[in-house]
Amino acid sequence: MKRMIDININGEPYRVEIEPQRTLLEVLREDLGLTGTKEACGAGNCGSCTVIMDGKPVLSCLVLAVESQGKNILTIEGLAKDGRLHPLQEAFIEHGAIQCGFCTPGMILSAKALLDETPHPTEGKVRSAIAGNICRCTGYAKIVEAIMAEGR
Amino acid sequence: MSLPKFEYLEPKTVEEACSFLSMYKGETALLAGGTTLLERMKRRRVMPRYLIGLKNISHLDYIEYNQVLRIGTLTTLRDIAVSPLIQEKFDLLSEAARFIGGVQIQNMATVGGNLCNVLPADMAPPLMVLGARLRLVGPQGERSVAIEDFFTGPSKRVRKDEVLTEIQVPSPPPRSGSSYLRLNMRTEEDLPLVGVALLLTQDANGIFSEVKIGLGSVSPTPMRAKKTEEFLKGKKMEEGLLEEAAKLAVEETRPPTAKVEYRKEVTGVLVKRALANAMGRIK
Amino acid sequence: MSGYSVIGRRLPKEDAISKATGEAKYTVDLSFKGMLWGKILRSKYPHAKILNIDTTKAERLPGVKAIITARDVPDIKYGYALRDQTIFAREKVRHLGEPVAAVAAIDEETAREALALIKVEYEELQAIFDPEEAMQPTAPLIHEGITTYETEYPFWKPIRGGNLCSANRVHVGDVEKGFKDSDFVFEDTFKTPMVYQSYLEPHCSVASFDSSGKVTVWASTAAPFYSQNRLSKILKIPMNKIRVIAPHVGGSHGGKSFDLNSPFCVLLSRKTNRPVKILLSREEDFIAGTPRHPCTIELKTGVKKDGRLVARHAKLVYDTGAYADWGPGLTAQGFSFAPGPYKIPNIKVEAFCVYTNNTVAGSFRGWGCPQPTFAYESQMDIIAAKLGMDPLELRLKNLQEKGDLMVIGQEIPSDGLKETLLKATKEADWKGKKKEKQIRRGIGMACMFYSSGYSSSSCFVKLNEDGTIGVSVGATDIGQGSTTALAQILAEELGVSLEDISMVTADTDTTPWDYGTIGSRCVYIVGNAVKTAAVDMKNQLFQMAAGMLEARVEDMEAKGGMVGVKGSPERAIPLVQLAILSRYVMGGPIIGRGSYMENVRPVDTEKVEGFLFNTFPALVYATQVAEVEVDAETGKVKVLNLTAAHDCGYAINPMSVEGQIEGGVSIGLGFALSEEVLLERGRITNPNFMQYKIFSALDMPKIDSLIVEVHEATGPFGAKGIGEPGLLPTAPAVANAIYDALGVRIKTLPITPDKVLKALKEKSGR
Repeated sequence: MKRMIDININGEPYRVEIEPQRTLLEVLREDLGLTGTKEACGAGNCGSCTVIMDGKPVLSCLVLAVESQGKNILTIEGLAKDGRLHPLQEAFIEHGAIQCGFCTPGMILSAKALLDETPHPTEGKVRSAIAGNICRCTGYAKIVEAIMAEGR
Repeated sequence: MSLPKFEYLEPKTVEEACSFLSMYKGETALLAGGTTLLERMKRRRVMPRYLIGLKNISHLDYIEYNQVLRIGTLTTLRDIAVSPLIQEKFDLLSEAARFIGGVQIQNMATVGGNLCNVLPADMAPPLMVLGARLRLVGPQGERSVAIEDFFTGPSKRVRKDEVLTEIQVPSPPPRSGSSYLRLNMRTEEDLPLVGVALLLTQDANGIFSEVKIGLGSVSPTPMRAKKTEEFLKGKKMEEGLLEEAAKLAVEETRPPTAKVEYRKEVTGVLVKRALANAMGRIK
Repeated sequence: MSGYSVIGRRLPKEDAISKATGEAKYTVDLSFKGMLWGKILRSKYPHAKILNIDTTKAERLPGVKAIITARDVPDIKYGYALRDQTIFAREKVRHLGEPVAAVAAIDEETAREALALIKVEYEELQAIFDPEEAMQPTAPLIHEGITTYETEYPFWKPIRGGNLCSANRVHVGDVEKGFKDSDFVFEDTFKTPMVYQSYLEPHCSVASFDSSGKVTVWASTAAPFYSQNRLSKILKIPMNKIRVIAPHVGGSHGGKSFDLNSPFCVLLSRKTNRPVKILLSREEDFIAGTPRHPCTIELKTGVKKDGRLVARHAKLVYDTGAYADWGPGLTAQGFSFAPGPYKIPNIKVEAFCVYTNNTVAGSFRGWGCPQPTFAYESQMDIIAAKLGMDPLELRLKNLQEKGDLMVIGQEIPSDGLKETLLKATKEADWKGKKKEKQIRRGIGMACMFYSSGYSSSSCFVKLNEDGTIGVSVGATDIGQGSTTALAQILAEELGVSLEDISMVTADTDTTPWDYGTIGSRCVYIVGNAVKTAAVDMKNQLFQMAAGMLEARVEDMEAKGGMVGVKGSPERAIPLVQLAILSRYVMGGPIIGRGSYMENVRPVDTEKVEGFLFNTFPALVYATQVAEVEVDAETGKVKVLNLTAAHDCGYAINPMSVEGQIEGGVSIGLGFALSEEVLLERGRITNPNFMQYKIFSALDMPKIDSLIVEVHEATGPFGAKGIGEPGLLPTAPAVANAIYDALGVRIKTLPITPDKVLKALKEKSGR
């Protein structure tokens, strides 16, 4: 049975009619055209579907859309403001932390959540913060470099 | 990967949730964090017709302390991992919670879900060792269950019409130290192969007045290594004691599946190390 | 190298911004009006006859728009080397997961339900899962027609028969005599598992026909032209009626040499007259994909007591699964490099590519070489330990030098390998660490040689009216940064800045042919094509400008967006002026074209039996040093540092080169320590990222990537490939480090803690 939900995404209010089995990831990608958030596994093992919900990074592939009723969601599309990139996005670009880019949206959001909580993390904390985001291309080396550079 | 269709019910109270459980007996599942249930549903391992969402029930997400620690069933593992109160007084729990998944999983997974699912259930051994009690609410009312009695078999956690609402943890006795150690199967971000939770209490003469050892992933359900505990109780630290204890702990394990010999071996190693750690942390 | 303005610089990639903002569209993100969801029904048995397929119930399900099976497809076999495969199983299935039928429906759930309603009747056949068993004469035949299959390479004389898909053999000198002359003979068997590329974007394709009968296919692929070729051949559609586009690709690592879904999408789209998308779930991708060949390597080596290698006999058995796929090619590749980069007067190599009823194995970075590299570099340390020699000294003593020959007759072109050995060991403080041995710590090294480049490529360059440049090149950027590197090459050659260039890539309609992004060939082969096109354009510009400036063509240079006389900055014409003049006054719009063909020689197949390639266009070298810390009570291994020195000829973009090394190392570490596709009677039991573990950021050591530049004469600005070598020396370096730490030698990958502990117990006699 369909129901209406109100979610705030990237500062904008959205109202969508959805069936209960839809995940937040599906609604973002398919109903709202926000394809920046990716699905690499759909099972909660890769982190590519990471969004920030009420300030906390979560896996949108395992969040029911109905559960995001009334919540504030930040996706990768919401980072740049007025055409200006977020410093983390710039750091990733400058440091060569992006190869195929499929892990990038989730990775940047996990990094943002870390820096919002711990502005000057140690390398160990950075690696822990992105332990749930897998990347096959970069070996994480330049990703960690970029986040550390931003955290200085 | 999409989920199968279901009806979503949003009870406002625990009583309402219980009545849904009774009403749609056998066709329901309780949704807490969703990290286990939804993943299983995607694989079509379980296909409940009704999902009972617990998150809209207020007062199920809290960490309170008044001589006894009370944790609401919907408290996330992350909240447990970073809670200053738990880190200070019940560090065993925050140590265990930190091991589970990455930050995202920790933000979603709840302690109630971790205990109620048929999982490696990391939180069980530390809670067993601390002597936790679980508050369950059902159509017959409330009952309090010692956590050991909760695990009556690999798939039996709670009666089908009950909701776990709270975990109560008594304070560890004075002069106690604890340690949680875990070895994963392959990588740092992985399923556990062995989990050891240990609580040690020493009297003024260095005698172990109480030893509690909880083991995870080395038996069909999380267990206490009671023989090892008995052996250590009343003893003092001396040469060869840890090795002896490790051997006993290994004998108590009954690992269910793969890498049986290795799991047993590592259990002994982790018990030894947990004992040493716990001793060093006695305050 | 100073003197260059654009190449050699750590420039961010041209697609980095769109990927950082989530704007970049991958095939999985594409959606079209009226689009249907396709799903594939896969075999439940590893080996069975198909007696009947009944689709009637599924056809009646509301929302199902089309169902196809083998009867909807011409009976045409395809294959990269051996044509042994059809897109649907015909008559029998040969592996679990082989496509049997496909549906298109209005949504995913309906498609899923439809699959469940298709009734397939099978008659199970005896299945075989071990390649050694499969090679026995009594083994059930998987491909009855093996000797009749056509080949893609007309000059190839395959060695095949029974369940042997292909084989290679060579004998240089006399190994038996060599062993007799040796002071010590070492015999070791090494085993490596099936491992999965784990690209994050699963296989996905969309196909859509227009009213003229032309189909456009978007696919997550590393080789759009190969997709076009295959679709044309097996569906009998002319190539000009097939357009294949690779949007941004979420990783390939070899696994997207062919996009798995496009044939089904095209057929379903044609039948329904609507766009059809097939997206594999992660689990399905594990099963349907083409992971790395499991391999058993038997290495017998004779040495003199002073450490000189005298004879080597290598036998490699690759399990190619149910179909050949890239098996024959990468078997030949592994075969070529199996003896290792060492001077050995007597060498015998036998490599076998064997059919089983396991998952089809195929192309994965390293192409058949990580397996023998693990073997020969592990054995070098086994030899060093026995002789009491430093592993570095043993290698330096035996290293091949410029002018030496590989078993296939190819000449070693440089001493780049030695440079990587010296650089890596110096940087890692090899001597120091070996001297001050710390308990539970070990240091190990491994080196390797490998190929770069294959086939050919082409490029068009055009001069826009305002002097900016448009480039059209078929190469697919799968994340490694080829588009940017190629643009840098072009910018350097034409004397413009990177911002002046925009590139169109990977589109069979608008870009010229390219072989595909495999074999470490983009910067090397495509780079040469791009450079050639730039030079062609430059020559035309020089002709025009020389006339206008009354100078000689030989005195002209392209610099700073201008074309002028060397040494006379006032005698220069801006490109924009030449662009306008060419359009309105003389010659017509300026277009540069370039084609480049690999520079290779044939291999003598009388001596090198069953070989299907020519020599390799270029060789690449690397040495890696790993420092590990081991827990002797649990067997757990932590890699602390990894020093990687890689010779890439010249680093067009050093940041991208490091990225390839670092990514390669993470894959090599997974190969060494944690990755293994588990098969039980042909069924993958861990088709997910929970039970198949690749390294996370927490597992990774500190990586020191060192770029070694030994100028490659045949490469653009001296550059050659770097895409694959990053993962080749890693596993043996780690295995050697573990030996250094604990004195135990593990010869089966992955080196999991339980194996280490077991070996420790055996060593201490418990």
